[in-house]
Amino acid sequence: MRVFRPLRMKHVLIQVMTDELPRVSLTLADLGLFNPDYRSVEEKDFPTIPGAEYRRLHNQAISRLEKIRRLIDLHESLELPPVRVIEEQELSQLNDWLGEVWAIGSSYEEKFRRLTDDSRLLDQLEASLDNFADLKVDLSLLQGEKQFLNLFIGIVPQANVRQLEEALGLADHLLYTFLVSEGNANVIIVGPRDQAESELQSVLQSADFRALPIPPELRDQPDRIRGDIRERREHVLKRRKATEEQMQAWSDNILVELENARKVLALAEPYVLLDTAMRSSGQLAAVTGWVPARDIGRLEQALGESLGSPFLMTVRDPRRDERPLVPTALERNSILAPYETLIKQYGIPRYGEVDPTPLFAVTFVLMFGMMFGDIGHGLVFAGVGWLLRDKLKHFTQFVLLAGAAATLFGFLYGSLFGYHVLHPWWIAPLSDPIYMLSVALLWGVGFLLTVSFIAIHNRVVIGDFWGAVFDNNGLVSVGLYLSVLGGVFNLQSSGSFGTPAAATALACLLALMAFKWLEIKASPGERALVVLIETLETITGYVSNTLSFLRVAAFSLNHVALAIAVFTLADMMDTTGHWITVVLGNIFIMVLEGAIVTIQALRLEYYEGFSRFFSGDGREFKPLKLKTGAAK
Amino acid sequence: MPSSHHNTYLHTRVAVLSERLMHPDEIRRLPERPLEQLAAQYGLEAVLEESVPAPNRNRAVERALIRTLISELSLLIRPMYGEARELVLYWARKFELYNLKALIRGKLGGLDEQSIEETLYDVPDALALPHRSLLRTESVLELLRQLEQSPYRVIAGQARQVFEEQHEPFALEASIDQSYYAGLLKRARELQGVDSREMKQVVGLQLDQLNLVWLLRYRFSYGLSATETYYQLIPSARKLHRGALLGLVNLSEFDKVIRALPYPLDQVLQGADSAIEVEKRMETYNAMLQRKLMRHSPSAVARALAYLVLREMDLKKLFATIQGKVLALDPALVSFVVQGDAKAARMEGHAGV
Repeated sequence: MRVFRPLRMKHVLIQVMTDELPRVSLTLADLGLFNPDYRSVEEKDFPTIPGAEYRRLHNQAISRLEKIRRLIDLHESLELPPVRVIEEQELSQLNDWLGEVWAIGSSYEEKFRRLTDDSRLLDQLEASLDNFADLKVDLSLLQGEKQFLNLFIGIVPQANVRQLEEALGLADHLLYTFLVSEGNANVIIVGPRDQAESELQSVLQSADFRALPIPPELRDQPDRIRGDIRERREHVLKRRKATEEQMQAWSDNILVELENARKVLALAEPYVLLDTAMRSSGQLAAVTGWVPARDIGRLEQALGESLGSPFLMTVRDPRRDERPLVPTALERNSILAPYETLIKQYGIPRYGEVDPTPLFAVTFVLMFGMMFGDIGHGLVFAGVGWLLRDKLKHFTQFVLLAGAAATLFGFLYGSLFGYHVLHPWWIAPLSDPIYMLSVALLWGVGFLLTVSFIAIHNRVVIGDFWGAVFDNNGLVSVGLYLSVLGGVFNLQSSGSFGTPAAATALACLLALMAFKWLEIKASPGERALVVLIETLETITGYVSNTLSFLRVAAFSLNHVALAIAVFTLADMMDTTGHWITVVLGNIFIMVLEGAIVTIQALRLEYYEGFSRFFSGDGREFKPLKLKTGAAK
Repeated sequence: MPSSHHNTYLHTRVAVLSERLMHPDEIRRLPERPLEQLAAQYGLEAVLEESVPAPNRNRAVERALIRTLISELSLLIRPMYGEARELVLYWARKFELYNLKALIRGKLGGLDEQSIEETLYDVPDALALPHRSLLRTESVLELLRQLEQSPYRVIAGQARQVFEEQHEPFALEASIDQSYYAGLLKRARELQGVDSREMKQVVGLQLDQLNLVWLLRYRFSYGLSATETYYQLIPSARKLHRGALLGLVNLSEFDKVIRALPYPLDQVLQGADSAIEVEKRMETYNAMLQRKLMRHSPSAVARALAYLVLREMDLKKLFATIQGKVLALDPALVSFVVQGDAKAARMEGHAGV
């Protein structure tokens, strides 16, 4: 069944004239079916990777466009024109134009930066002047050239103050900090004028010292000075506004051309992205990649229609040694999409492995429902999912299905917001906890057997027949598991483990140990130890994983128990208090238990499930495509 | 403070890794060994293929050796956490700063992207500046604006002054170095107890060497004033502390500075008459003391950093040897660069750690 298997892939080698490579790349991207194989062909046969200059131009153009987009808003999505080849000359001209545009954009960025700096300096000046205004000093003394003194007033990063102070001390200068603000120290530096000014300037520059001009009228006319600062601040704001308007006018002028530039770069991108998947030798070039088997015909037809010269397409199955490199293409629909996201948290299925997504979707939803079974809670869950569908996007399906499952189990349990007012279609959990635990146990056994068989299948697919039989989760392990289960069942029902079960279990155990003994290459002592430990691990793994599923029943009981706790509290209240407690209690149960149950179900899937059969180290199928989103 | 089992693990790691350090005799014999033998021993055969041009081979060797050092650093920081880990990671930022200086120098000099990129080191992502986006800047001002958004905003401010006032970028590079080492010492001080005490020794040894060499160069080779020179120095927690440096910068002759050095530096450097010779002797002396710290310090973190310092010294000597052989330089020159100073090596009795 296709839903359980990734698409079958074929390796494709396309040999064309080197000049046709840009057209080939466009055709492949337009189809969206070709995942480049960057191992390419033999270097000795095709020594050149074509398009180095083209790639350089494209990368530079993209970089410039990204920087321009910091200043100019472009549309998020991109409507591409009819597909056409972008020649290197056109790309070069576009790159040059983008360079000119960015030079202007960069000058605007620089202007804004200076305006911000001016504004910050005015803030610093105002703060400093507030301090100076309180001094009983004739501020005219702080201004202008002095005959015998060097005098500097300014700002230095606080981190540099101590070192600067000591360095200036060597030149007989004093440094006084009169204000510290936002990591900067406002300082006065004074010393004898016999020191070479250039030396002092050099040290001040190293310390990132910036002078603050102190108007001499500050003391007598502080309001006037403050007015001056206000005016300067307004002037800065005006300049900022004027610059913004200029920039807006400039960006309006070039907007259409920029959108066109994006389109050209999007059309040029496939050739760049092919990178080492294409190689050439003179006039002949080769492109390699992976294509779904069902689409080979379409690919050949598309190339035939778009290329002006003959080409040769060689198709083959992946070799056994290539399997880890073959990309996995999974068929998707909107229902399974959210589960795919959760699967990807674990990894990508290796090519040939069973796609765990459908199994994950069904089992997760069922386990969630069983642990969270309540009609009211399920409907609220689904309702909230529906209301938040714009925010949840493709996760909406996930929430709706989980809510539906919880509702279904609510009917099975006869529970509505914790009240058992309906006759259960199946059983109220607390009426027979042992039965619920048995059901959970059987569910766990079924789940583990299913994933074990999937693991066996996956090993057969990659040709590891011995592993499929003898390795962990292989046929022999499954035989051991089933025989132990059978023996335990016999023990419970008739008081005896049973000879067939015991014999089977023992035979499987010995077979496992023998396989491990032969597999391990070490000294006899180390071998014996490893065999013992690994066999024990296999047995305990099955036992612990099985018992782990008891939590499914435990949480269904827990759900009911929490409701009982809420009702007990509610019964202690008067009528109003009762209903408030019931409502708040139900909300608490939904939020807390909802989160816990989700995590527990995920944990069972990942740890008890995936770890048995899912390697997660596959490569995702990422075909070459024409990008219509934001330029990257 | 790391727990005792972390310390034990780290002590063991350092002890195991220290086997990789070259013995001083081994270092002395480096120039005599054939290139093929060195390549085989250090896994550099692939990068030293004859078909690759010499400068590219040297670049590839340098990168391979830095990768070796960084991978050993990654091993050592695994059991570390908190300020200790931060300090060791900060130490490795020096490679990031090489790249920062190369980027600034390249942009100020108007070099193209490819030429600048060839001078950059491969640094792990955790340590790296966003050098891709810095490389793609198209003017000095754009580079500075990007730097202003990074942890290097103070340096960006100084760089802007250098660019706008057309001053020599030397002051800028000196500021970058000064800022880095001041940060290293600050982090050493932030550790607790014995770790702080021992780490100040490890860092202090490096600072003493740097301070002295910078002092001599700035004062007597570049002719800077005492004020200008002092500002670029970083008072260390060892011999060349604040008071010592303030005294030394004011001296007007090279010999006087050497004679005025605190014990045992005055003995180690007795008779040295050039900054190069001072640097060589200090490096040998530094290496000897770092080895003692690496072997005997009670602080596992300090031992780890001492190991990294020594390992970097060894790999630099290895690189110098290989570079000399690839470029077919005079073997005597290579020996001079690689081999330590015999007199400084005999100063073990004056270790004074």
